[in-house]
Amino acid sequence: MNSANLVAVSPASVADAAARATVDDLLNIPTPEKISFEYELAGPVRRLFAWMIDLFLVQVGYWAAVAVIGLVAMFIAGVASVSLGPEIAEMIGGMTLAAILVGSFVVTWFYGAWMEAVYNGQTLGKSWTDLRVLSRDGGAINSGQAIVRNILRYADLMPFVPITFFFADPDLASEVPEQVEFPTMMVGLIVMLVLPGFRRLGDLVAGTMVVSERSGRFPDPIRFDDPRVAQLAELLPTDFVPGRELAMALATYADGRRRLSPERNAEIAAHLGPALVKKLELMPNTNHDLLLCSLYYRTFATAEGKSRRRAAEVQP
Amino acid sequence: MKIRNLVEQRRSDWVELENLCTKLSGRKSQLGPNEAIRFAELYRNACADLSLAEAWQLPPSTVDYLHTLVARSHNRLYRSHGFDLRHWLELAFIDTPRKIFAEPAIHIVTLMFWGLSLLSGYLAWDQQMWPDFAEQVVGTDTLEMMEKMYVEFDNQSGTGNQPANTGGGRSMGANFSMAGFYIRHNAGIGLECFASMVLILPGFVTLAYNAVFLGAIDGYMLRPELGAAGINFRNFTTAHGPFELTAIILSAGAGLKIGLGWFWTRGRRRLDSVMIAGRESLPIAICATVLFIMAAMIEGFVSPLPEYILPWWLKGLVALVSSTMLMFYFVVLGFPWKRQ
Repeated sequence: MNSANLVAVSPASVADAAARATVDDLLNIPTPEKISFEYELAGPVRRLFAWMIDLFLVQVGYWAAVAVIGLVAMFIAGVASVSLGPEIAEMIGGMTLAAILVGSFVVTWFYGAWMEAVYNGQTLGKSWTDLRVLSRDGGAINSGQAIVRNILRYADLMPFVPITFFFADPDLASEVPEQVEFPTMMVGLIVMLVLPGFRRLGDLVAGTMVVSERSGRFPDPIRFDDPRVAQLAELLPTDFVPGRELAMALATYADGRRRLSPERNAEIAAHLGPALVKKLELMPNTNHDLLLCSLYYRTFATAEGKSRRRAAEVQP
Repeated sequence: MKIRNLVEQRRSDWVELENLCTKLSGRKSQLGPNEAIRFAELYRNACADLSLAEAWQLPPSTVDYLHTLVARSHNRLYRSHGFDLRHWLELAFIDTPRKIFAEPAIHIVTLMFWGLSLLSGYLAWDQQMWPDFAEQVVGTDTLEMMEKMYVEFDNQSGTGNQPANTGGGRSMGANFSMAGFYIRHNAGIGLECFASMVLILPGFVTLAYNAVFLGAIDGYMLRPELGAAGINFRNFTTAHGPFELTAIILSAGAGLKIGLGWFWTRGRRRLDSVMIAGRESLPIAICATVLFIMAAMIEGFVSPLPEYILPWWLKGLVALVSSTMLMFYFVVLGFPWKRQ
């Protein structure tokens, strides 16, 4: 029973594959290359973070640009009012204001859609937080999907509450304009948590999802400094071949033990150790941690282990 | 062969693939032809390595690493395509009008919007059936403000508080900035209406409220006893009315189409039904946005022209022409003619 427990927590074992399928922040994508790989779906908090970065960048960036354009326009209008008369200057002012207002509309509603369509599913905020919008089938999104999911964000932000709602002090509340509304985002949050795949309303309608795109780190190779590991490996019975599940358990243990204290390692090794000691007919006082390491070493790091396991697979 | 050696040997390929991925993650970045071929080769190798990981019994941490590597490369290989103009043109002049013509959600919204606003307009104008209707719906303060605004906004004589040197009405600069304001404000409201209709109830509440509110204001302002304010109001609103009201109806109808998708699944799974409705209603929402922009242009430049430059009957003609254009788009282009 103990050994079964250890196998169940090893990430890639067969028993775990079924458990993995039920973990709903991972999504398996089959590709044209006839393999399937996993995506980690991005949860609400991380996405909120990305959205706030975008919101900040868009507002700050846009109004900074407006300030520059405004200054230039004021300069041009000033020159024009001297040389061409005040009507022309007034018209330049009006056109600039119109451009600013239309620009603010476009940026507010279409910044996200444009970025996601052109830059392969990423806005600046998403790119900084390593998120990417993908179509539900794992492929890239198209421009239509990008527009739908970005416009429908408005519905996801609902219900809107007047900002005065948050002020307990009526005097303070009277100082903020009543029209300012706070998006409670309850629609998006509830839809995300109730339906599988962390998709907000806009994602459901557009048929998209947001995945977290980690760039993985190559794991450090497992090496044993203790010379006794190799020595003990020599002493292990040559006819003992670990099965697939045991091999995975050993690999998980050898990988994980580097990050744990010796006491904790001894505790974990004690689950599998006694059974192995008995099976391999070793001395009862064998160090369990050392035993698992040696077994791993013999299974994975020696030529002998590899060919043996191959043979074992052919004759199950 | 030792697993460790095998991993070491494959590792250089993986690292190379990772470097190419990093190179590809820049904006609009591209690989040279040789690198592109190499990328595809390395990607397929990584895929094969991943699929064999189980058989080779690679350590789980290495398998995890391969998953992230393949996912990253996959996203760089299968990219989004940006905007395709021709596709959008076909959508705009062939598919969309037909969809609008046949769309029950738009029929529902049209009936509701026009029904409510005409009824509310009549009640506000008539003063017999429901004497204080307009005052109760809009509020006395708002009505007085509107009245005052349209008395001052005198586009008949050009002697109001507008700059006289522009020939009455509004100055050209103000026309531009107001057109910009109308685009931002009205098209924004249209998109909000579209989005909230997806949840049906908030959308209907917003739409019904706006229909009743607009109707009441129209009915009130057109009462004969209002005199100059009423005439100025009429002169201002006639020209851009058709585009603007149609745009509101279209955006709400497009949203409702998605909303109906939740219930009326036509034999599909519920989420698929909503997704398909979303894909089909997007062009309608965009059509509404375009109408809002056209309405804003008319509202900014034509509507404020004073009576002696553009008399009311000419503004009526503008409304007639725009209505004809809408009819052409919705009925002539929209009628389900047999495809050749």
